[in-house]
Amino acid sequence: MFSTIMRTLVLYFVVTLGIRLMGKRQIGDLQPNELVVTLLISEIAAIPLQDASQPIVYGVIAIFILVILEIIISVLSMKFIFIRKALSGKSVVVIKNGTVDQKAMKKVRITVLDLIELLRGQNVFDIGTVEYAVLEVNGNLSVLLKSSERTVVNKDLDIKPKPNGMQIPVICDGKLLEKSLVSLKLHKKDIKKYLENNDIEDIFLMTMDRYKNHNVIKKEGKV
Amino acid sequence: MKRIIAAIILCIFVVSVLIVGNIVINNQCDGLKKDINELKSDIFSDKTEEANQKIKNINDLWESRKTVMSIFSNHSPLDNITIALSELTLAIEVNDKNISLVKCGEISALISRITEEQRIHAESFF
Repeated sequence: MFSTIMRTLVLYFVVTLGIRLMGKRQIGDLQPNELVVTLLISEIAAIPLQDASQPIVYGVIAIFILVILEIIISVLSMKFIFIRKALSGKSVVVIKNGTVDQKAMKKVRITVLDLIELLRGQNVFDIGTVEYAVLEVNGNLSVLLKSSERTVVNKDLDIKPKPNGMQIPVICDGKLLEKSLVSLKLHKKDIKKYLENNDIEDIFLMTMDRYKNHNVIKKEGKV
Repeated sequence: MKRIIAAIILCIFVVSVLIVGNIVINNQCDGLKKDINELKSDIFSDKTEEANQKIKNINDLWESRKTVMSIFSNHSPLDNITIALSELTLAIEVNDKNISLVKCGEISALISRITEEQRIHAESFF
């Protein structure tokens, strides 16, 4: 029993390290080779957990080899397009200039019902409103609507809105985040001065962008 | 760049473990094989007292050898050697020469199996 506990702990950290080294992706966004490695890692990690006669080092070595392979292939894929194409395939345009490309659909083996389902996933309920639709290598559908169907933006109405940047947390659960202040080119005393001037204390979350637009959420009263 | 460095470090770790594992298994197996061969010649020569002392030493050493080998090798052959050693010990105690020699041969075969598994050969791929 003790060996099962120790093996589980070791393999948990090894698998976490492996996934962490491979980089951040959601399951749905994985390339085919990344999906293969993820599935294999989970299978390999289970073997020493189920069979105590297998030395744990076999599982650890196998996982590390998969991670090394994945890193090498991802680096080579970045440098050589033909490797990326061979492993990941390429995106296919299934709707072009408002017309469904039936040959392309046959090539990627999707039916018209699959296409309509994918469009609904992109909040498109009328296929006639689509200018371009691209089936990506990870199976997602990217959609460009016809210009007459697109949402109006400020540029269309010649409106110049107030500039805003990306708001990042500067105070989180009452703690000041020094790195955020550095990236916003602010000093601690600037924030403290602002809070004193506006009589704000007990902050749960404060976010700010480079134009000093900010949001403040106060802590709820103690339960 | 960080990922490449991490991959290199992992590569070095994997290769080191493989080399160290190979060396450890081969050294331990060679040591045990040598002891078993010496024991075999004592049994052949009817040197009962030497044989008893030798099997006791082998059993004592086996515990530490097994612990080290179990890090790099499948546990089943090691367990089989443990069982064979206990049978050999009993056979030597009751002075049964034939069974003792058979068990020595069995242990030698199991040791050869372990070292064979560490080697790179076509059989291991299939």
